[in-house]
Amino acid sequence: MGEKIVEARGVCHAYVPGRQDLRGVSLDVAPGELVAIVGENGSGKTTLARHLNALITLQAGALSVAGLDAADPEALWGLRRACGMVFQNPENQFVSSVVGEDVAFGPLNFGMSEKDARAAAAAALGAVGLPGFERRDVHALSGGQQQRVALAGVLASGPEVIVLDEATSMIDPQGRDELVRAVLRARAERGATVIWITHDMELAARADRVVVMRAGEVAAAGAPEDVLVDEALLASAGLEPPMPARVWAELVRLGAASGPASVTVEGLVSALCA
Amino acid sequence: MTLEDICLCYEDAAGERVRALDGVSLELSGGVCGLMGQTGSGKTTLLEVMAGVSAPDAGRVLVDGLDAARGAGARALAASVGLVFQLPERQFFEPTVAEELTFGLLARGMGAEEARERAARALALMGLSMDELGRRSPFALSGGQQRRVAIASVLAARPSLLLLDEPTAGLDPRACDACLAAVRSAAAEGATVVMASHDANALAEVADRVVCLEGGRVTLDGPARELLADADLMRAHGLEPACAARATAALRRAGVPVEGAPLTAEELARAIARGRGLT
Repeated sequence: MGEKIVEARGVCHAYVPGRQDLRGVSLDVAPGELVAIVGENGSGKTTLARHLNALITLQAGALSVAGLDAADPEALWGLRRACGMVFQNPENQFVSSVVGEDVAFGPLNFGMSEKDARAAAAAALGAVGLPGFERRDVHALSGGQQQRVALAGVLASGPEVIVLDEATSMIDPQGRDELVRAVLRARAERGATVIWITHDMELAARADRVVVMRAGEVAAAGAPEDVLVDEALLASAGLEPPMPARVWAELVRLGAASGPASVTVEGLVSALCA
Repeated sequence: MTLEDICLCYEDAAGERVRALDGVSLELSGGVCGLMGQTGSGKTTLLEVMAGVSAPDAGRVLVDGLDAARGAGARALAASVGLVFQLPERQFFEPTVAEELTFGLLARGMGAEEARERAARALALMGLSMDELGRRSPFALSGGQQRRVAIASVLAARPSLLLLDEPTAGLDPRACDACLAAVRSAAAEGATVVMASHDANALAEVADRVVCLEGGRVTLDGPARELLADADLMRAHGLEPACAARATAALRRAGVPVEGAPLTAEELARAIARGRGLT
């Protein structure tokens, strides 16, 4: 990998002395890359993600994000601006009940003028497909709209890296699709790097690269079509391959197919039509 | 349980009157009923009416033929129902997992030993061990463990009407499997289970019947397999079909023969193999 926007080397973390919640995680992410991080609850996904924007301070190892050293206390605000996070439950992350106030909160706190912050908020709401929502009550929005407001709050500060921590798990399928589209559009238009923590293997299959976390370590990292077909690896991490890969594996067992498995429905259809 | 023409309205934050349930009639007797519908369709409100937490503006809830709004019917409902709210882990209040799990049982007058035994069994159903977790604070567990403890605390009372609101949302595959196994087990022991969920893949594994709500009305009600496997029908009702159903529809559009109505990866693979002349 050439240029890196995230470079982690041997990152360790213990929430309480004697425990090892992260055990020497090393991971590189290229600018503009879409990386999915998968793993069972407690495997260290969120702990790793929270290092990226300095919600958790570095205990051991080395970490840089957008060229900022996570071990440098002076880099704290820079890291938080460079890396924005969208969390699991939309209602837990709002600081104002008014959409425009909530989205402008980040830029204002990073020192932007009132006028520029309002303009950044308006642009971010447009980018997530919610133009003109500034005066709406966040609690009167659907779950999908709330998550897009949360994403707009992140985008308004102009981050280079967007981390989504199980951001689709509490919203309905329509809301999930709305959020996925908004994230992919932000990535395409702003060149943002996206790190998506998810249990949704269909979503992971759409990433450029998948990182499998297991017991605080990176168990594997690679292209979805390599990582998400490895039943033994995934089982050891408490996971299973996406449905199309499981269908293909069963077809191979039945002698009805051969060759590499597909991880998406589109890939499965192509393989069976070939 | 019988629901007769249930209507319920509430005022939203803007002071607008919203009709959350609009003439819902259902008969429930055994098995697992999946309750589907988009956010705001009335699923949670319906579960709350079934549990007696919310009173309908019109219509009746009957338990064994008795009106659940009063007297013996209300007592029968209270004795038989267990409701697992969305994010049930937010309701923890006891200092240890063991105390959290036995609280409801002890409050009903059960002896300490029996309560502990029942709680341990319910926890085991969710794939967790009382020996390992009993003395730990429920607030210090991982998210997946918290959800399973919360569901176990309802299962421990062995409700004959088990209502679950999005129990698998946010769970990893292992915790999700444990949750679905517990649902199957409760139904096998005779409980009537209603599980509200957006997850057609999860419902495909446990549901016998699926009911779809749209705007507070029942717009679909039928055998789970028939409905969940019909990708076009599900989409027409604003629902996401099970992954196997989506793949089946895509394969058929591409001219790949798929027999029957597969709902799981294994069923779909066998259906494709049969279409290729293999058995």
